[in-house]
Amino acid sequence: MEWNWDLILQLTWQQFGYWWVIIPATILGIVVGALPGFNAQNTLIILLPLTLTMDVSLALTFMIAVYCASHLGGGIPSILLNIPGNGGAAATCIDGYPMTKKGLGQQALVLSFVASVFGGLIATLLTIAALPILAQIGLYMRSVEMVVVILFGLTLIAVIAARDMLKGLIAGAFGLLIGIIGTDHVYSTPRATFGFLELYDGVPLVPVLIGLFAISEALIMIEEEMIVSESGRQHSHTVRWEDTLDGLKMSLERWWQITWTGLIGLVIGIIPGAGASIASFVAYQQSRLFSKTPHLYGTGHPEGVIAPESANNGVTSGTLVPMMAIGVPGGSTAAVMMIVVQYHGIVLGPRLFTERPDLAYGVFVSMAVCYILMILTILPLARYMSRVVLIPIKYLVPLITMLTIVAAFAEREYVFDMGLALAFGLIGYVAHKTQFHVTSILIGVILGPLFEQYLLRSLRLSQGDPMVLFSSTIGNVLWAMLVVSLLLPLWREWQLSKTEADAKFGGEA
Amino acid sequence: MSDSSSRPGGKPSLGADLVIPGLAVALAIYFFATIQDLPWEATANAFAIGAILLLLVALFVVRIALKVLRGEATLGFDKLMDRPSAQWKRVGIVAAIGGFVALLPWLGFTLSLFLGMMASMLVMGVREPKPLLGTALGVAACCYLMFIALLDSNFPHGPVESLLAPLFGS
Repeated sequence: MEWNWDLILQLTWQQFGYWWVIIPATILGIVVGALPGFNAQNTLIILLPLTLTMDVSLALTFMIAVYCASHLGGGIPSILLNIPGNGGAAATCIDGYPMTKKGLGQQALVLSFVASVFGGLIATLLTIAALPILAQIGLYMRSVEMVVVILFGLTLIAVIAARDMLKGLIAGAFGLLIGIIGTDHVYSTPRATFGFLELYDGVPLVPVLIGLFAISEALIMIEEEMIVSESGRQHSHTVRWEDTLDGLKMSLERWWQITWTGLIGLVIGIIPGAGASIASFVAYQQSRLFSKTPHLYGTGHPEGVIAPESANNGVTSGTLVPMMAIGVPGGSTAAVMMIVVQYHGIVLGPRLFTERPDLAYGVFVSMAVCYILMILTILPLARYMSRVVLIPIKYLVPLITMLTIVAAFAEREYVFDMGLALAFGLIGYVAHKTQFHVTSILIGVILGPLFEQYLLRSLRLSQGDPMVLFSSTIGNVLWAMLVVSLLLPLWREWQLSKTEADAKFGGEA
Repeated sequence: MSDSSSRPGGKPSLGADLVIPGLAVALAIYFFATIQDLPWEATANAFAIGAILLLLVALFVVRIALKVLRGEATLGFDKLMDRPSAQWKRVGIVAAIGGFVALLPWLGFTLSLFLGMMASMLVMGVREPKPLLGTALGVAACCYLMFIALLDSNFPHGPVESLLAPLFGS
């Protein structure tokens, strides 16, 4: 398969024509990215009633712009207040905040913006170039391989993203079981529906999403009076816009660092579950490792701002690759996008590149266009961004809970779904509090029906013989990788405890 | 493997960690009960996933039991029960959402949303009449315009919708 330049050019023009959606979505994304505890997926959930009514390509453009901009916005409070707007911006605090304390906050903001935009843009252009190769994946993926891919994806999320592997695996399996509630594919017999007719078609995804993420987050947010501390409030009132050009010059001098740390983000983003948080810390660490001035890191060094910001935006295109290529969302925001696309009757996965190339390529072209338009939007706006953290929780919680519960109605227009969102909100709250990974539960719920479909197809082909799952070479390689990914953290933990025990024994001797 | 302490200076309370596995096991058992008489095509997935889930939960329970038996942890519920003032607010917010959903078919979308917003803000400690009424009214009005007047969605109609129908043609 070759590059379809005509299609890419046509899609580029189409996406530039959506500027009226991209620019407001970018502003919104920066605002939510700057709000600690708030992120792209929460915003997209609140705005589901809007995106579900949009044309699918327009809805995707809107969601992608919010998503990319939120990764950029997360760096603003990291630099100004030492409070990361999201997990991906945590590493930005290490050098961003010291720059602010030195009086270089403005330069740090510009470094963060330029690194985010160019890091994201370079990673997206590379992804577009690699799309013909990605499209070939579909030819090798049959039902047996897809069963293993789904299990492997869930395992990776549990191993990498969840702090406790066993809890992550339980969350994923719990999600898968919830995902197959409803009538079966062959005989249409209801299973585990608790007597509710509304569950015969399966558990609706939008209420699950709203409950697990938005309602549960709001229930946790209640514990705080304000998002920012008293000192943080003082800082946010004294933000100044100076030395922009100086920051721009500092960024352009470090173009090579922006490029390679953006690529680290892309590679890590492709791994399901390994999101911006991991990418930004890996990029920071690698940047310090190869730097000529490693001793300056942590003291307010510009390169310490560039590395995590470029990487966390490089992740944005990487996260969408597994979703588009194999139908497994690489993270929670990708999961929200997948739900919206599925709502429009489009199935993501291997066949998308042949059946809907406009959509498969369009997603990444849209991302590239968003980054280009973002350059024009961010600099004039950044001045006001830090003030959004001043919204009191006593207003924020009622707004989040009521607006998201309303959104739960949007998918099927059942009042039942609003109650379901509340029930999943309580499950999500307990899961958050006890560190059971809610993203694993959600991705399990999304993949449950697909898992059932592929497993059933494989078993029917083999007339019920489960050994069919070990009959393909690609499948067996994936099984081996799955086992390794499960054993590696256990081996590392064993090594660590052995080293600690040896050290203790040595010390006592 | 993290099992963070929820009681400063004390042993970690791991009782709350059993809530999600407990729910998962209950669902698996209920699932098995509803499919026991069905053909294999309808049961294969549930048995496969359910078996994996039960195995994982068994490992998890053993891990917690070992910690408790060694005296390294307790079976308390501190993780879910900390900050009593926040607990009341949390219960209040859940009740406000529940009330909104329950009243929706009777009072209609706009009025129940207005009351739900008011109740939530009261629970959160907003007492000044202006922001209380202004925010609730603003949210209800914006949602009415978006969902009823513009998108014509099927939210239950009540007195407000009936009153405004001639004005917006909804």
